[in-house]
Amino acid sequence: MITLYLLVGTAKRLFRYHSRDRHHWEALEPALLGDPVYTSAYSAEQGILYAGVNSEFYGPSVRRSRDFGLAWDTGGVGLAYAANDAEQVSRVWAIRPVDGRRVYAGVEASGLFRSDDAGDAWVEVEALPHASWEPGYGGKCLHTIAPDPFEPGRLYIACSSGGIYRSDDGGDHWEPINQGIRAEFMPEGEQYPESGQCVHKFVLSPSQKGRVWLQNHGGVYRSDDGGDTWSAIGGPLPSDFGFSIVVHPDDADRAYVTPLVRGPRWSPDNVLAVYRTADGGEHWDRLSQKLPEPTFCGVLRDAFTADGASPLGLYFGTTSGAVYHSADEGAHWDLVAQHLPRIYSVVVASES
Amino acid sequence: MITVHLPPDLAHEFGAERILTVEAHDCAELLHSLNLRYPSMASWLATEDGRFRQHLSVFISGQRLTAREVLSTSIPDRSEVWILRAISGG
Repeated sequence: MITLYLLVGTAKRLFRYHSRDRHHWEALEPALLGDPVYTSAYSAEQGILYAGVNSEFYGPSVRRSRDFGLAWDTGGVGLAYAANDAEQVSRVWAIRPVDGRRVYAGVEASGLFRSDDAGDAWVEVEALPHASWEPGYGGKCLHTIAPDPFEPGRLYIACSSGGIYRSDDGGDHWEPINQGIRAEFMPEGEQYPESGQCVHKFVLSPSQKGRVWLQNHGGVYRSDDGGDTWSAIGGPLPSDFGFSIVVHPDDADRAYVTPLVRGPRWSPDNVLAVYRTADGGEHWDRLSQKLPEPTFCGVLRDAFTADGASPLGLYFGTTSGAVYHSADEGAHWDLVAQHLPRIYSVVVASES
Repeated sequence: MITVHLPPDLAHEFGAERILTVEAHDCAELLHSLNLRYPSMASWLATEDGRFRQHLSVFISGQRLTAREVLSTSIPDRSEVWILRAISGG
């Protein structure tokens, strides 16, 4: 029997749920009382659940749990810039466990840290040019990290607002790969700079080499060559602004977004919905059955995720504190929880 | 010897006593002593530039330090040091 855990990071703590059938979800004791949890990640290989905790009092930390979030340690050491650096590490925005005991953390002010001992000791990946980047509305954050599943040593990161970068040597050298991604907040004629785009999220297809999906601050994009070139595919959506993007693990043409109206940052027409493409982004279908309306909320970049089951399970949390799940790839939705604080992250972890 | 009163939630997270005695002559030595007993606790209390975190209030023998006080601030022997969560922190 498989038990799924749903970990929901909010402005005031981490909420926990579990299910043995993906339909009925039971609330467990919440954890990390009082602190904002911007992101979390689970490594089945390491048996560790990570949480990026950003305390207003005690600063940022990457904390670890080995029992699906009941007990937590206080994190490792070294998650800080040098004493003479003009910037400080003020928040953790991304955690990405990879092979072995290696794990990466993305932070504000934008920087990348690496640990080779599952988060005991952190070292900055200094080759990134973070000093040249500008903060987005949410802060100057390095929010997405992804190793290439097909190319060993190839690593991608994205920052608001620095854009998306790629390294082919494990992080020693980086190049911006924003060619074709529009920076709508720049003057006309200057909207396609080499870097400085406000990429909100990207995700690599685990089933097709080179395919990358990207939700920009205005624009949904797809690349089929590892980010060398991009195609705008958000035209049919009611809004091409949004934060989150999720892919199907087995079908490279399927992806899911949660569009938002730019100003208020809530769902278009006040209909809470996920939009799915099954043809690489040519067409998008609205999936909103059994979701409430009208709503006045949105979904943030780490608050939308999928499990690996078939049919695919989808999960998202809203800025008004509700969590919804679908066990049939979005055809029907059900409520897991509501009246939570503002939701920053949703992660699924499975216990065999 | 000085006596240190930790914020209750911080003591809880680290499994520490709320009231400790340490040998220290300034705030940096105080944090160093805490860090030896409870690894990484110093980084929860101060930033790399050598100052206390913004939303902590620190009192030495009843005297409140200024916000983001430098860690080189001396602590007289037999002082009572209180580290508190400031009201500004939300």
